[in-house]
Amino acid sequence: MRKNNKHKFVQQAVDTLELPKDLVYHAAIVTVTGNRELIIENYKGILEYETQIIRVQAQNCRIAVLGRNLNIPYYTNDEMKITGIIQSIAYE
Amino acid sequence: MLSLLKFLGGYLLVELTGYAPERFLNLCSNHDILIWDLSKAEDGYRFRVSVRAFYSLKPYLTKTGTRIRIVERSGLPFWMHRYRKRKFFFAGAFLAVALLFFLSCFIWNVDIAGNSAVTDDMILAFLEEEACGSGQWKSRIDCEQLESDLRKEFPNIIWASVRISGTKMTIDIKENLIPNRQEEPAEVTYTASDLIADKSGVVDTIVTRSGTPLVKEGDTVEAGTVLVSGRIDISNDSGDVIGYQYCNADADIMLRTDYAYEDEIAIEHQVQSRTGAVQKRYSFALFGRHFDLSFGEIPYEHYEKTTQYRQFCFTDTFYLPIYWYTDTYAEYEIVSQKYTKEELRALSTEKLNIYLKHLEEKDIQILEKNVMIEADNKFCRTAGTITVLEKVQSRQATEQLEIPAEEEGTAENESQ
Repeated sequence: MRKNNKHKFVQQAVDTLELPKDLVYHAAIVTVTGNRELIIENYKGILEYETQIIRVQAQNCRIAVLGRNLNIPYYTNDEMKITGIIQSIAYE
Repeated sequence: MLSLLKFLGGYLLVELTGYAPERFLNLCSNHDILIWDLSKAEDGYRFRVSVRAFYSLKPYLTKTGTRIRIVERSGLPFWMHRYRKRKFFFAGAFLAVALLFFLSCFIWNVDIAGNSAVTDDMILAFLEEEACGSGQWKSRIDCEQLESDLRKEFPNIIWASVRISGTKMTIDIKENLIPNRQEEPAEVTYTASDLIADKSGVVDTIVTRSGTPLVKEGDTVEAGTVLVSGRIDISNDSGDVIGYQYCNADADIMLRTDYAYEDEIAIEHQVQSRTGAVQKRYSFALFGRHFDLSFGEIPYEHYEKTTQYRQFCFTDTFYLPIYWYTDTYAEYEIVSQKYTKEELRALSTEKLNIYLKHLEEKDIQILEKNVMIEADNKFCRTAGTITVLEKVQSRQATEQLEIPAEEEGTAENESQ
């Protein structure tokens, strides 16, 4: 109950102060363009990379990108780009 | 920009195999080692990495138990190494850069803006004279000095700005739009003058303000007749002239005169007609020297030549002394044609109207025109007279007369 209250308070504070949510919640930002291109920000590391699946560890969840011919044109400390034919994106 | 940096530093395509490649990739991103174009190969991963980063990979490789193999080298350092024996190629490249640098120390293009009465050619000739024009060292040109010299040379220029950017000199000019009155010839001034008729005609109206009028309305005068004299007779009570007073005659005199108009148009006339045959010739100029790319005579007897040229430039301000010329020769024939009656009438009327307009521009009022257009089989003649009303403005110095001595003498006698 108490934890729930705190959570609500934080949420309200973020909404009224218009703080960037990705920073406060440690949330990953996934930008998908069509089914060909995907950019993940705020991630921690790559867990698995095959041509059919890329699994990425974010701050508080894992993101699995399933598809065909998946490539990574670049990846830096806070941003990575995935190209290929994306079939599904799952949060684990 | 980033890809240029990658190219200059050189980069490698490598293949990664081993126990925990994902862990290796994460280590790389955590230690800010840039890896790009990551893709899955048959038994490992392929990615590109810069040469400098490649040497720092070693501790992570041993840590994760992976191996790395170079597949392909690309970038400037490897390219230089591959072609290291081509000495003349590198010498040529260096020479080209040096030449460009040398050429950029000169002025190769002059752009003039804002001038209308002073032509581009006048300014270019002046620049040539001052040794500040095209082909001169940039460092020798003093822009501010040139500005004041321009204003000195052309009094019409009231403001000038000279700028040099790259190999281009830009001259901006403002001209004085109010014409200079001093240049007009000063009117001859008389102490005493007569108004004379410069054409023969009939005096239409005369209003005298000063001087002695010698004619009245309706009088017919010859050219050169004195109309208003600047001499005023002073008479005594008995009407004898005892002296003269001189002044500048001033009067509004309208003279009705006839202008003879005559014009002749040949019915047969020659017209240049294009045959449609066109030949283009190309040439180029280097440092003012012309090089023709095509040889032989132009195969036409009559032709019109149009020249277009373009100056070679790298950027907007980096012009080089290389010009590309395109000369177009269009052949024409001389064909005799005959005017039709309607064309002749229109042409004659047009010419007459132009003549009348010229008269009106000189403040001459046209009263009537009697003009006949006649055509035979060779010529079309327009002839007739135009009656106009013209203001008399010609002057001559008044003849200074001796005061009549004898009359004076009698006057004296009478008084005694």
